[in-house]
Amino acid sequence: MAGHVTTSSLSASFGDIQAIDDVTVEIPANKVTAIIGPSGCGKSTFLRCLNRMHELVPGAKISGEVVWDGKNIYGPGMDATEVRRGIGMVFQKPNPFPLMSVEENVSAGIRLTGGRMSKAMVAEIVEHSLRLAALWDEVKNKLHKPGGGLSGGQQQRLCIARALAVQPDIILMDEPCSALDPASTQKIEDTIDKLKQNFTIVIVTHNMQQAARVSDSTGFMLAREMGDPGRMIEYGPTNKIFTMPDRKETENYITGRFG
Amino acid sequence: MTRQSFHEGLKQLNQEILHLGSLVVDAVDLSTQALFTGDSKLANSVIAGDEDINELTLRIEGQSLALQARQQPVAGDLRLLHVCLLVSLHLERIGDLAVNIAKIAKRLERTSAAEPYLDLLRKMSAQALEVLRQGIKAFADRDVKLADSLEAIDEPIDEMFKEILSRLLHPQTNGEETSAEWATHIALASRYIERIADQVVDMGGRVSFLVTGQLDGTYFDRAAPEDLGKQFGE
Repeated sequence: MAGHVTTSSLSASFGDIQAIDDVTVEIPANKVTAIIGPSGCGKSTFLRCLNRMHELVPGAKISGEVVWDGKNIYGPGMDATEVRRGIGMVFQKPNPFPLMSVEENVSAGIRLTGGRMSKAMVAEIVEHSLRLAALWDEVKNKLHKPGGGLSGGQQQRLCIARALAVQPDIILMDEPCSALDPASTQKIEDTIDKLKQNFTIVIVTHNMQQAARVSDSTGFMLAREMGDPGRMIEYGPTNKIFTMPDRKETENYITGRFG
Repeated sequence: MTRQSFHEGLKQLNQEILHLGSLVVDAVDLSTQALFTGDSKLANSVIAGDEDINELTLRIEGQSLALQARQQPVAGDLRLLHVCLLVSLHLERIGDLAVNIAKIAKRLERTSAAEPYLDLLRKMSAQALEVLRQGIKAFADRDVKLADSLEAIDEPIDEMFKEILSRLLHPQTNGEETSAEWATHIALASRYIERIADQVVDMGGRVSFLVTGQLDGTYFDRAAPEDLGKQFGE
């Protein structure tokens, strides 16, 4: 099964500031893994290390390994673009290309990275991706209208469809629902649940209830003191984390005793 | 993001359980006293007092539901809410058993033939009260060791219950007639006391879960003495 990731002793910093320290986890294929923790705990940085987006920030450094289906993504000869094609990302704020049509938005990735494709083939991938993102029924009659004209929740699912179109193994989601209303959030959560049949999902969320609802495994990250790097305090099955966490810090965070 | 009002609500719920526990201890204490003395006023006070127990149980159930609906409890908070609800049901059942004992207290004929039975029932109820007090203490102190020891304190009660049944089935009559009604009252009274202790043993299992998070159903098997059939010559 494709889409398995392990990190070992993963640390990342921006210049002199270390953001995460010594994170070793195994992210299983075709499961949803949630990363939770208070602001500044390094969860977004961790996510961005998983597809080499962290290195895009000036002064960014990284050590340790991220192994994706047996290959170290930071190893020699690995192409960052190829990594990001196989490990896609959906961001907090829906960011479709506003003036491009719905169809162009979804096919943007394949037109950039893919070789030559027939119109019919592109249309097929667009429809398939929109269906996977649970958006097809809502946009099938406005495929040529601008993506910016959709509602916030639809735009976010459009971004998911755009990420899916290049056929990645893994989708990283950084707070995908924090800019959305409850109904759209519900749709995205249902979509995530369906997507795990074909993809591995890693989702960073502020919303602990969302992590409890959608994920199979949950990791809790924490920077113990101001200025400390974030560490993976506990990582395990979501059921266990939310009923009987091993670590006191996890318990205190998820039960709202600090944070 | 600390959740003060939620945790205040949990604390209050915990206090309500302890209050319910003290009402139930009193009910068991008074109902068994009435059983030995035949004091109907005492028996009636237990029967009337069960309304308070029921009301408090309902209030606990309502509070627990509201906290679950509105606060999305997890981890230790979730286990506490879950266990409070179950413990309140165990305690409410014990209250009902005390009412049953009080009703028998009002009807039981206290002849000289009753003496050896009442003697055993006295010992049983003293032991059952002890189990009950320790069970509530185990909940209050989140004391797994104490909770797990309840089964052992319960054992003599099961033994005495079997002895009472055995005696009733093979009476050593001293020329005194005993009626079937009387024998039924003795049998039921001993059964009720035995059931009180069993409810507490189950309660202890809930306390263990509260602390350890391990769902362990072994205490379900402790409910009835295994070789009860022997008393009936099986």
